[in-house]
Amino acid sequence: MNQAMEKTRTAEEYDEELEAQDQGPLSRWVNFTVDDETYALNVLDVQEVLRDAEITPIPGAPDAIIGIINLRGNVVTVVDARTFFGLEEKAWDENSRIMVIEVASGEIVGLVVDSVAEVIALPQTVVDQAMMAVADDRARHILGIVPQDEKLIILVDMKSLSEISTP
Amino acid sequence: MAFEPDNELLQDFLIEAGELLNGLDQQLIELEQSPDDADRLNSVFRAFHTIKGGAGFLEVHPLVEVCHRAEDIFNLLRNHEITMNSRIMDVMLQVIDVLNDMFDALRGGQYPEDVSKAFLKEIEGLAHQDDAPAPAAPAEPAPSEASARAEPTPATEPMADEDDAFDRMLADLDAAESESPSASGGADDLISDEEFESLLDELHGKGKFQAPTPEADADNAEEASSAADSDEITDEEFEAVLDGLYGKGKGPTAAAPKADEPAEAAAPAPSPQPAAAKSEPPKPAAKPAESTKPEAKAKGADAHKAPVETTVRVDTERLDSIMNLVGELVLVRNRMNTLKSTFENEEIASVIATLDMVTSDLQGAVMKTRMQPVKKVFGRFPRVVRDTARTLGKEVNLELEGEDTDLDKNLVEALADPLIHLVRNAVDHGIEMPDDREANGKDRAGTVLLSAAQEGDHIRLSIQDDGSGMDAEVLRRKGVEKGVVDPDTAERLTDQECFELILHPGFSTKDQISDISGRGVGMDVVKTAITKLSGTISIDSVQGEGTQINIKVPLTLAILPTLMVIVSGRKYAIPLSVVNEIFEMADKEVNVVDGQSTITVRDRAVPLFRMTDWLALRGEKPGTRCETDQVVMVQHGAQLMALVVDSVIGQEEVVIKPLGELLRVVDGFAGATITGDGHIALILDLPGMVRRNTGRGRQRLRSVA
Repeated sequence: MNQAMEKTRTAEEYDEELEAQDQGPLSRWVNFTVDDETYALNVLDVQEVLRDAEITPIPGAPDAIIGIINLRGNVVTVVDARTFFGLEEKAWDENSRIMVIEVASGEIVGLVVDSVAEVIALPQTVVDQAMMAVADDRARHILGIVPQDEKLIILVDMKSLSEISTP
Repeated sequence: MAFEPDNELLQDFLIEAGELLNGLDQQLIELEQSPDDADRLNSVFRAFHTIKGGAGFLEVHPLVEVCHRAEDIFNLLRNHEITMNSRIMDVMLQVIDVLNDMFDALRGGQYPEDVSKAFLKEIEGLAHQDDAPAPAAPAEPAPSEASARAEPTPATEPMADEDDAFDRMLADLDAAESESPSASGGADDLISDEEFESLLDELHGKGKFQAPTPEADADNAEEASSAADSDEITDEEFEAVLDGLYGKGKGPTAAAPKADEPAEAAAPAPSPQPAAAKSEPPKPAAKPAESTKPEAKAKGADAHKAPVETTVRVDTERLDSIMNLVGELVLVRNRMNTLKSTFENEEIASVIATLDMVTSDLQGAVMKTRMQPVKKVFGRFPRVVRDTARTLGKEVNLELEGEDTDLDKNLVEALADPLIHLVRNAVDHGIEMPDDREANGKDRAGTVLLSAAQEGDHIRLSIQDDGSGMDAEVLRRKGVEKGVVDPDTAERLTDQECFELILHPGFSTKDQISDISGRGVGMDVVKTAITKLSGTISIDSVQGEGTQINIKVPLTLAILPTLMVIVSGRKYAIPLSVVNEIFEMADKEVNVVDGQSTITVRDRAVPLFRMTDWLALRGEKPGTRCETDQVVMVQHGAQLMALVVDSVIGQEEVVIKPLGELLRVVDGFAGATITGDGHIALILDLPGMVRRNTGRGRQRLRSVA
């Protein structure tokens, strides 16, 4: 089994951060993609990213739950981001990653995403603004949308994952 | 009687019942929303019953009185004799408040005050509703009993007690001293310094007492050298005095081992000088002085702690975490063992073999730290039996066997309540009245035998009485009357299955409701508790000769022996406790009865289930019969079931890893485990699996049994 941390921070990134410091405190976000959309999770919520893990399926589990993995002796439930976002299922490919995150109940959960790109730094003011703009109850996991390099990044909060099994 | 409950028991009760009480508040509120929720009514009723039971055992009568009445009301409610209204709710919430006050009092070491008669009347009054015929008022103990009850113990008494003890000790010492004039006065002080602690510890359990006075210490210093000689003597003499006072020389003192022999000789008439001469051959005076003095001083400096302790109190949480780590180690060991063959290196093989051995030993040793003798539970029973028997006017002897059997601490605690229920039941339902016994040619006094024994990796507990036994026919009839089984099914039940009907919720054959048992909650609770411990319960009875209830529980809850099987290419673990036998599918004939596949095993039709169906993933096709299929026969309650699996791998001891919260909704799995090769295998929970896959399960199972 190959479990590797994918936490790289390039020099350029670091420079960007320094530049951005003029704009006040920064918050760091982990970029990931699901179905061509770019999402970002607060880096504090992400414990690690797995390239590969053997997922054991659970007969009778809710649709969004793919199965469980052995994370260094602990059993961790794995959820499919696509199903959770209401998208079509897609087979595991070489870019697929499992993001290990903490949800509201304090439980550690794996989230399968199409790919994990990078860690970006956003000024807290930009994040705050984005958060105010979204007030839709139907998508509680969406915190806000931030424009970045001519595309939109959807900031998400996966804490509500713990509710998937209580419809 | 005074309020001096066993401190530990009281604490246990406060924690357990406190939790129930907290839950009650919530449940009552929820009941207000849905007053007809039978499950909730049952659970509220049970909570009161359990609190009452514990309070009764600790003789906290005001608590018992309130709970008893509240329980009566809920009994009427769940039997639909009265209906929930706001008045009942108001009074019940008041009851909760009163109970909370009592608990606070108990936590503060005070005996709770009696409740006002008016309030008790008010609760009783709830039974009479305008729109319902008033049922007979519940049987109550005479009110006069309450007034004759224990008086509150002043909080200062323990202190006074210790002072008394101190005085008495001094007096005793003086007496001993005068009987043995040869011992010097100084030595007396020296010794008391050390030994007071142990004596007081014996008296009060904990070393709260700040023993010797400064003068005594000063004396110590002064007399240190001159008294050195008599030091040794009085050490032993003291043992003798203690022995004389308390029968046995239990005090774990440094001098105890060598003092044993002389103490015996000295006990009847203290004559320490010759006794000491025997055990202590003439030596230079300075030598013993050196060896004993530092110890005495160290103790004095150590704020007078209890003498040399050989035990350490450890938080169970810490033990649990050690246990988990060892579990991890066992898994790594298993993986190493699997890898061993791929290395083909003798040195590595031998290292792994050593690791294997050490891990096994470590596992055993850690398990042992969690073990406690079952005596801890059994110790409560003489009292339970006596009190119960007295209340009922019966004569009962309790015999205990195998009290030293060790089992996991969690199990010891978890088994206490079910066993109390069973023992009470044995006395209440099992043993007949003395006159009836005599008429049947039995001893007037009945016997209840409580025994524990280790059988392989299981502990067997049995409660046996020589009472009237149970009548299978009566149980069958009652079962039908109470709607527990339908008449057709009842006809087909074996005697054993009839006995086990009493484990159903709401099944009680005792017509008269008593303070002790007979509401049909007990056995249901017992069954649930035992099942939770992955144990089994079986009942055997011979009419006129008695009843035997056997409980089998695993030795420990941390490690589970399982049978590894493969279904649809995936590994699953079936707890070995439910597995009866394994055989090849090929040579068995499958019949379909009423839509249910069955297989005949030794002339008995057993329902057959394909695990490939039960464990099919989304989009997977149900499996087909295959020549290599194997059948695992499992026991589900009293019911045998045949499960078809692709193949059986073998037996494996696994460490249970709980599944996450997200998977709480998924029925049928007790957890997961990491196998020797690093993969995950799900552990089946048979009752959950059956519930999930056979909606109409029970009825259908019965019909083919």
